[in-house]
Amino acid sequence: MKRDTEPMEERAVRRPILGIAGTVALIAMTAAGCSGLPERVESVEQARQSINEVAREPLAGRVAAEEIQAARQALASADAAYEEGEPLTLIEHRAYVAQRYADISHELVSEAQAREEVQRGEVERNRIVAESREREAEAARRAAEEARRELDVQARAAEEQALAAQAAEERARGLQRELEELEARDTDRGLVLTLGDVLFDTGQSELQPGAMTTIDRLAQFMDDYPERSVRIEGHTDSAGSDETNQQLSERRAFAVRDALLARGVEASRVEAVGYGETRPIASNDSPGGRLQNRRIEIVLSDTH
Amino acid sequence: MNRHSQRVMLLFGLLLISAALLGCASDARRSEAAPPAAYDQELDRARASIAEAEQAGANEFGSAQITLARAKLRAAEEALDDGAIDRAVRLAVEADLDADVAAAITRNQQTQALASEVRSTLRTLEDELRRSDGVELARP
Repeated sequence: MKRDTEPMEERAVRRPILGIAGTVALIAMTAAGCSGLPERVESVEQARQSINEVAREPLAGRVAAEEIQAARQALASADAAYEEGEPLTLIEHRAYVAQRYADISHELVSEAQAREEVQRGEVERNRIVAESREREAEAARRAAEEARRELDVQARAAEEQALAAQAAEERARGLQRELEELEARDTDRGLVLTLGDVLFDTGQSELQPGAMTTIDRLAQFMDDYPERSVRIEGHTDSAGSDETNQQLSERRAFAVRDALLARGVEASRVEAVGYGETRPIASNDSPGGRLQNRRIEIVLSDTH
Repeated sequence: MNRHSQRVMLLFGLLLISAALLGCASDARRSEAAPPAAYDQELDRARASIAEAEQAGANEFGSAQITLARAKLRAAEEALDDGAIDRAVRLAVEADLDADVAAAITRNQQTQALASEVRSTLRTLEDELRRSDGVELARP
């Protein structure tokens, strides 16, 4: 920039010999400013721009007010020097001062932003730490609750198991009792219940009213133990023909079956069969033996 | 236009030019004429600012600016030796401001470093929190 001023002066000394035209031109230039300043001084405009930029920063007013003020003053004095046609070196010096104050302002604003970030960061850090502690406490609380729930579930399961065992035991005891009431015998064929001759009139297959108590009890038993099925076997003594005895034993077995079905027992669970006089359990020679041989046996099985 | 009037014009021109030159010269003399005590003050101020910036750590963070400040201070001292007082004062003022810029850059950079440290601490914390969340989710 200095080149713009000093050679101008040298040239001016040589001018006179070039005549009037040169002289007139020189007069015009002198009027514009003796040092021949350019249209605009770049460093001044640069400083102006820097100041405007930094002044727009939201934090500038708080952290760099003095510096921006100083920059503006220096810029104003640079402008004044330009207006008054002061030497370029002076104008540029003042622009330099303005520029440096703008630079300092810029650093101050930038630093303040970083400091705010640090402060926000501290707050955020504390928040995260607190939140993390809270989460840990929450997780511990949840784990404890989970464990307690688990224990509850186990306790309930154990209780249910105990109840089921108790029910099973009661059922077993009930079965035992009912079988005892039916005077069942445990044989190799299964549980066998023998109903005496008293259920029927001699030579008849109609159940006598006195038989009903026994039939009722049997039906109740079938109702209580739905997994069980029965086989009803009819037997006679040896009096009379084999065929008559066979038919009589079958009719009597079926009469018992019908009585059970009439009390709601499923047909598939009740089988009836007649053996006539073929399976005596005592001697047919005595009246007592024959009495024992006239009978209905009910064989209980687990499945049908 | 005759020869005489040409001469007159030439003389008039010369007169104007010398007036302009004189004006410029006086301009230069007028600018920033500091009283003898003032320039010493300016140089001292530059020296103090440079020392302060160095103290703050400018050699690390604002090395270009502090180097410039020292060079300008030296140039100011030389100008003073040469008797160019205006120039010495200008250079001292600039050296002082260069040192202030160096100090401001240094403080800013130090704060930026702190902010970056805080940022990275936060990232680490958030990562840890996320990881522990993941573990928690994985645990049925």
